[in-house]
Amino acid sequence: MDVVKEELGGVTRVTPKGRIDSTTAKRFLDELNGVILEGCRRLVIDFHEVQFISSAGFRSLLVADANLRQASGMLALCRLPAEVQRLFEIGAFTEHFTIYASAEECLQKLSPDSGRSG
Amino acid sequence: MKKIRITIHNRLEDVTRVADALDTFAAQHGLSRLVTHDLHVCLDEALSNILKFAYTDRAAHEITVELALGDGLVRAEVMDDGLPFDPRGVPPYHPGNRLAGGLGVYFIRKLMDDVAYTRIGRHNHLVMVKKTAMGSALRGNG
Repeated sequence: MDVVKEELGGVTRVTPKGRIDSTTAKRFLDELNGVILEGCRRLVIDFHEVQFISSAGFRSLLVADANLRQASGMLALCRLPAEVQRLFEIGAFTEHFTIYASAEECLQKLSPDSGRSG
Repeated sequence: MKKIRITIHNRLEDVTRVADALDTFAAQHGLSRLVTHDLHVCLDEALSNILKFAYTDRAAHEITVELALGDGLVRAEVMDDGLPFDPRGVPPYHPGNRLAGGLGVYFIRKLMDDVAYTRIGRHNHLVMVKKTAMGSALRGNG
């Protein structure tokens, strides 16, 4: 798994590529915690290059989300491949996370200029 | 029957070798994206459970994974010499307490078409079966 991080007008986009599994979940969480520690409060995780995510990866997502909420931050996910989306539905994670189909909409909704407060 | 067998040790970094072997197997035999995805998730869940819970010593143990394709089915068998563990006995996952555990076994139950467990001698045998195409062989979700 590789992770690309970008700053886009007050929003941090993290794009993991490959497998978020038992081997990589800890590194994934370290990356997410890293951007939160650096001050990110508006975080987008773009899933379009994720091959699969297993329960270890979901745990990382939940922990990072809890850390971000504690810091009054916002997390949103976007561009889930169909197979990945199905896993979110099976685990009822679609009720827990804010998920957008497109990156543009996701970035716009989380933007500090969108009028929606954190 | 097309088959591959891979043996790893009980180290987290070895789990990657199984995922790599699955990608190779899937490409060689034209497995669909969905079937490959579901097998990836379930193998990771099965192997990470073994690494976390199966061993009480600090010794190296062998874990064998066999992938077989035929008759419209992919069969993934995981064999380990750890403590007896029947995943079918794990309490159901509850979305109200997502961090409590049980999610991995829940994924296996939901994604596979059939899951069987047997203890043979000192070994656990977990067999996970997935249909390779809609409407072929076996019955629906168990």
